[in-house]
Amino acid sequence: MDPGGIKRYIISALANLEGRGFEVPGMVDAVIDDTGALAFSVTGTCPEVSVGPVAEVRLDEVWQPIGVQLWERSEYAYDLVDRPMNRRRAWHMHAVRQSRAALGSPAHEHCEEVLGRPACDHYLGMELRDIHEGIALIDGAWMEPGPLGCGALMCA
Amino acid sequence: MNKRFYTPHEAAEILQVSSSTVMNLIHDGKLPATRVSDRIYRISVPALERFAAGVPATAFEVTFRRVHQIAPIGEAVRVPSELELVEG
Repeated sequence: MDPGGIKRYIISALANLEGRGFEVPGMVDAVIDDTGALAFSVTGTCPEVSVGPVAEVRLDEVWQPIGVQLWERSEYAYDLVDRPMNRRRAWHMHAVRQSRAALGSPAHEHCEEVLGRPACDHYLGMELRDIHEGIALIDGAWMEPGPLGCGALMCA
Repeated sequence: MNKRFYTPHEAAEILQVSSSTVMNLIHDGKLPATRVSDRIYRISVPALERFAAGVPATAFEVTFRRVHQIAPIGEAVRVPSELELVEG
């Protein structure tokens, strides 16, 4: 994707979160490092009451250069820390080489029915198509009135 | 715990439209919803409130800047290091 495409991609993620009722910042900084890798972080909160803890969403992506002014997504971390419900759900793909060696998959998931007390450090995961798939999963987890269903996942 | 989602039927009552209109809004991408199963959708309470209020979308901005090195991702919350990953 070119810079214009990445910009539109980030804006569409912000709009998606905002449309779902999350409070998001109006501006996001994407950074490019000395190797040419590009990264950005989109955050949001979903306050349900005027005071008290809020649910936090964080969507991080790293893109590697594949040509002149062209990048492809190489890593992501999509996180929901649901403080009102005291639980966490996350979909990650980072440290891909090590993850493949250890887990047999480039992606893994986190699931904590009780925040900070995971029954398993890493659950096997499938690579998500894009940030919007991550947002839909996070929104679904946020709306889940019952348990997150961590027990049904495969511990790596 | 506050109610976090509406069914399409509940959303229809709040918006004073038919359930099929709500489903059309969902399928047209105008009302964000999450598909729980083949035939079950959930609409988050804040999403419906936002839609009902007709809040205009924010004009978001994205800037690009140079840094020496980007920070590793996936470690904001308790996430094991790469070494821990290798060691399982």
